[in-house]
Formats: sequence, C-alpha cells, structure tokens
Amino acid sequence: MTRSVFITAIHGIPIAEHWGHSVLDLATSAAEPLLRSDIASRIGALIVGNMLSGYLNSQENLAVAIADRLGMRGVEAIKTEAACASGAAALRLGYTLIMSGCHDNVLVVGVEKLCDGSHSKVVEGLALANDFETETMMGLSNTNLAALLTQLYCEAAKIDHSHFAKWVIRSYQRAKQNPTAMFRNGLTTGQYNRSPSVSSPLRVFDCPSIADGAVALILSHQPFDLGGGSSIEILGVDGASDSLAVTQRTDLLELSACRISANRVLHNAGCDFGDILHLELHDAYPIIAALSLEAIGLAKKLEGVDFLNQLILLGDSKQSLELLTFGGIKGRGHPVGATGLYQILDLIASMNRSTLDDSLGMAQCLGGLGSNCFTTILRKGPL
Amino acid sequence: MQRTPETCPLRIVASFGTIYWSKPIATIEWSDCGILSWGSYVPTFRLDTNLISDQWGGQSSSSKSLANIDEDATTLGLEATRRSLRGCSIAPDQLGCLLFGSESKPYSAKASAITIAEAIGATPWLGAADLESACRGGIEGLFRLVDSISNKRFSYAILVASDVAHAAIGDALELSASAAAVAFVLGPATECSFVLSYSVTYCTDTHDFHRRDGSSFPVHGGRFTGEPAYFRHTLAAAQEFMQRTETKPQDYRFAVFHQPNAKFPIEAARRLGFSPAQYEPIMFADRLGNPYAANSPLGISLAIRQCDVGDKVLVTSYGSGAGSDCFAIQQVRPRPTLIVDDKSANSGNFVRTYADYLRMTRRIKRETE
Repeated sequence: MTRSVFITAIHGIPIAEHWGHSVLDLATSAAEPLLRSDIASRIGALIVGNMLSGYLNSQENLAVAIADRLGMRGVEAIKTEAACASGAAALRLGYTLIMSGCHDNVLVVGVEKLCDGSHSKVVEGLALANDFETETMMGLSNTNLAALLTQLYCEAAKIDHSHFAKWVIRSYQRAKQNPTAMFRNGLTTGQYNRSPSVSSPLRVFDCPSIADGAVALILSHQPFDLGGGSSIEILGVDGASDSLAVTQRTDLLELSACRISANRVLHNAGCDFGDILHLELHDAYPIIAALSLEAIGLAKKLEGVDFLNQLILLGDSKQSLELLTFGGIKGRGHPVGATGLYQILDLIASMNRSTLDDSLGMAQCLGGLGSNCFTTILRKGPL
Repeated sequence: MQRTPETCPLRIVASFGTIYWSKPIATIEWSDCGILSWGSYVPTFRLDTNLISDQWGGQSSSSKSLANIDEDATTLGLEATRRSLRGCSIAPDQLGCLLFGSESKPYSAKASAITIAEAIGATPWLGAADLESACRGGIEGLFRLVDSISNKRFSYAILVASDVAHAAIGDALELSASAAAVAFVLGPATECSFVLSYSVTYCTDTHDFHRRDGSSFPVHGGRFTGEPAYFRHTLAAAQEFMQRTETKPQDYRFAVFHQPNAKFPIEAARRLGFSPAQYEPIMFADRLGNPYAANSPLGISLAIRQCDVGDKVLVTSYGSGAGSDCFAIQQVRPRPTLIVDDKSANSGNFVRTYADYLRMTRRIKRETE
C-alpha cells in the first residue's frame, strides 16, 4: 500500500552566524512554531537531517535531543546523515514512513550549527564527506576538489573561469529577495574580481558560506493549505550514489548520481523532466551547478555554464523554467544538514509565486562532490 | 616622507601663559583626576606586512612596528615613562603608584611595574603592580588610579601600557601583532589640562583571542573576534556611557576605539554615529599594527595631542576575553608644553627581509658560537 504525502507546514529560520544559539536552540526555533496546533500530539516520528553535530557540537543522538527539547518524548527519533544531503535524506526517510503507512504525520528537521568551531575545524569536518584515504588524508578539502574539477572543466570546454562569474553575481542578486538568505546585499563584478583567491581558480564568492540554519516541516498523508488555496504534495524522493572519491569516477566531469537520482524520481513519480517548472540545484560551487544541469539533461556536456549564462542574458522572466529563484546555496549560505530543506522552502516559495494552480518543482541535493544525491519532486495542486 | 601625527616629532615648548578653566558638562561624571602629561614610545623599526604574506600567502597592505632583539615590554614601558615625566615637573618620589598593563610582560611572576619604578627613581614608597586583561589591561589600571587620586590616597601616579606582541609564525596574527608603549602621568584634576571622567565597563566571558599559560603565542578567535566579541562589548559600553551621560556622538571631537585592524574601529564608529572626521585623524592600525595593551592609550595620545580647550574625546577600549571600558576626556586648559625630542616616532626604518624579522623576534639565532 502506498499513500500520498503532503507537506502541511514548513518554517525556516534566517541563515546567519547564530552566535548565541546552540544546535538545539536552532532546531527548536524552526520547529516550535509548527507545533502550536493539535498536530503535535499526532506526530509519530521526528527525522533530523544533520552532518556535524557530533564533530562540532559534541552531540550525537541528535533526533532524541531535539525531540526531548520539543516535549515530544515517545516519538520515533532518527538522525540521518548524508553529508550535505542530510536534510534531503531526512525528507526521503520521512516521506517513506508516510508513504508506506508506518506513520500518519512526521516532523522533519534539517539543522546545522557550523559556527561553533574554528574555521579550520569546520573545513576538516566538511571534508569528512570525501574519501579519507585518497582525498582527505592528502590534505584535499571540498573546495580543493571543486577547484580541480573547475580547472578540468575549463580545460575541456576551452573556457576561462570568468565564465562562471556572472552566475555567482546573479545568485547573490536573487538572494536579496530571500528572507532567509544570509547574503542580501547583492554582489558587484568589482567585488567579485577583488575577492581573494581561495583555491585557484575559485575565489571567496565561488565557495559556499559556513553558516547556521534550521528548517522544520511536517509531512502528512492528508493535504493542508500552505498558502493560496493549494496544497504541496511530494510526488517522490529518490536517492542515488556514485564513487566516494572524485578520482574514481568513470568520467570526472559527470555527476552520475544526479542523473540516476533524477531519472529514478521522475520514473517513480510518473512525470517527464519537461513538466518541471521550478528547479533548485545544489549550487554550492558554480561547477557543481553546471555539471548538475548537464547530468539532468538540461544542458549538453560541457555546456552547463553556457546554459547558465544564456539564462541571464535572456532575462530570467522570459524562461519557462524558474531556476534557483531565490539565490540557491550561493546567496543563501550553506548550513549543510539544513540545506536540503532550505531548497524545499525556496522551491515552495517559488511555486507559490506562480499564478499556475498546478505545477511541478524539483529540488536536487548533493552530498560531497556528487557522491550522494537526493532528488525531490513537489506538486503544487488544488486542495 | 609624509608627516602624519604619529611620525611628527613630539615637541612641547614650556610656556607660562594664562591658564583658564573650562567647566565640564554636568551630565558627565568627571573625576578629580586628570592627565598631567604623557609619553609614548613606538620602536623605530617597521615591517611591511607584504614580507609576511609573501611567505605564507594571503593578502596584506600595511605595516607594523617591530621591537628590536634587545627590547621587551619592560624596556618599552620604561622609555615611555621617562618621556612622560619630561612633560611635567613632578619628582619620581612624589608618585603614589605605578601600574603596568601588558600581555607580554617578561616575567609571569615579577612585576615590570616595580622594575620601571626602580629605574625612574620612584621606589621604595609606592604601590606597583602589573595588570592583564588582554588589550584593556592598561585602561583597567588607569581607573584604579583615577579612583585612588580622586579619593586623595595619593596625588600622582603613572599608568604604563606596553606590549611587544608576538604571534606564531604563519598565523594571521603575525600581520598585526606589533609593539608600543604609552605612559600617562596622572594627577589632581585642578593641576591637569585633561580631565578624566569615570568609566563604564561591560565585560562577559566570551571566547576570543587568548594565550594559555606556558604558550609563547596567542590564538585568535576566528570569526568570534567580530560580532560576539569586539562589537558586542565595544558598542554596549559606548552606548551605555552616552546614554547615562546623555551625550551624543556630535558632542565629542574625537572617538578613540581599540584598533585590532583598520576595519573594526571604523565599523564601530559608523554604527555608533561618529563621522570620519572624528576617527580618521587617530587611526594607526594600518601603519603601526596592533600593539595590544598600548592600543587604546596610543589612540588617546593621538587624540589629545590634536585637541583644543573645551574639546571632549570619547574612548572605548576593548580587551579579548572580553571587556570594554568607555569614558570621556576633556581638555580644560591649554596643555603645558615642554621641549621633548621624540626621534623614534619619526620612523621609516623598514626591515628588508623576513629573515631580519625572524632574527629580531628571536625566532632564529646563531646555532654555533
């Protein structure tokens, strides 16, 4: 037996350096507003997506810690970890619990508190997503790997790294209208060009920002009006994996986990990619955004960055596809375990902005440099 | 070489002109203690921080002062103290107390204050101790003396703030850790050109720059250094002081802030509502670096040097750990002037290589004799 799954409530706190708040404070701030109605007593499970609560915040068994804080002792409590896709993995598990009939209502929380550690400790923590024996132990961080991929891509496509700049600037521009984004001042070409180099050819603004954040949502087997007289249904969440080490991939410039995960969810949801009108990608680094577009088939091989730049040239409003409407990870910041659910928050906001009564949206969340991927399809439909 | 306030030789000419008293505003609580005279010593050597970033990467576009191999916080403090005494006519044995604020004092148990007091001939009958509160140790000491002089425990005292700051090789702090000392001779307000108000202090146990006992080098607090540390304490103390005294930014000629770098004090000043004319003339971080405990005192010396009678200066210190003090200084009469030759301030003496810097900071030394 499978049932429909709906998002019946969602709330995200602003992404920032929340100096005065612990990881539990952040999760509570996100979830408490959703629990004021009688729904709280009918929640059967709390699924928490988080990557580094043990490494940085000295707290594992995080789902129990949060359930306890929220006064929800007795619920089934599980933390899911899939590197930067932890939030999406939590959504996958929550979705499956309702779809399969195990629970009627599930609270899903994505939370990350990265600002508790020194910069070097956080970078080391984030590198835990990669292959320790062949990558991390050699001193490679996520940014180094992304930089190497970018160099490879530029060489293969015969382009300059500056081709990626416009996309970064557009992301920061879009984030100005995102109430939960960390960066709301925009970015000029001058500021981008003057920014320090981090790992050649990546500059500061090419890299995702260390930040704290939390999003909570309630999944239910029955719909609820999330605004504008429409419901948000999850048509599917599916994951796929690739080699852990970037260097072990058959083609270093192909994110096959993205391709497989997208195909799986489209198949299981019974839709075509052409039906998707709103898209959130995992644009932690511009190279990943470009490779994701190629993986899901929106752009041809080595033409991902061209596609991004075409989008800007033609003007986003003239596109039929709403891509990274609110700035993506670039403008939003990257509280890793919560990012997957911030994508859902932004996707719903993008879908609610549209005048169409019935539309589909897709969010793709990656772990590591594409070693893990979860793709979600949402449907905004009439109640 | 461009002549800026800190590169001009300090010349004070004796004069016995008319002295008049300017009444301070009733809402600021003025103490009965003032600054009789002051002296500063910034070591002559300069390091272009490009020499550091060329080695370890990163970007920099500034310089900092560098103590020579035979200098330390005590020797710098002594030189500043000697200079401060030249600006007034009190005898060393008239001093009731000498306090020394530093976070790089040579002995963990032996007061540099006593060494300096001995060297200037102020011993044996005076109070003397060293204070530490990161970069605000000197300012904390200042107000212990303000209280004592206002309560007439003694008439005269000296506050010395001095540091020869070190940082670990390759650490970000290497770009700013510098050296300087400032000494203030304090006396009864009726004898001084500059009167001090009582202060407001805001302190919390906040993670920031620190140095563990036994460690040669401090560790900085990363991004904690910003909003939760520097800005929280600086803004809280300054806002509280201005609120209590019912004063506004426009009431002050200058605003002195702790300058750990060139950006933070400007941002603090901007948030509080001060204009560039109130802080730009006293900025030194880009040229001299951060001399830790001597930081705010150096800012004070640069500000009061440019004041006229009736002007007020708002001072907000900051020390990691963390705490901020906020107080006002007002010039109430023309400052007395004595001729003092201050060659060291007139420096363009840049070290040539990173190796010179390593030798002067005792990181490398001869291995054979």
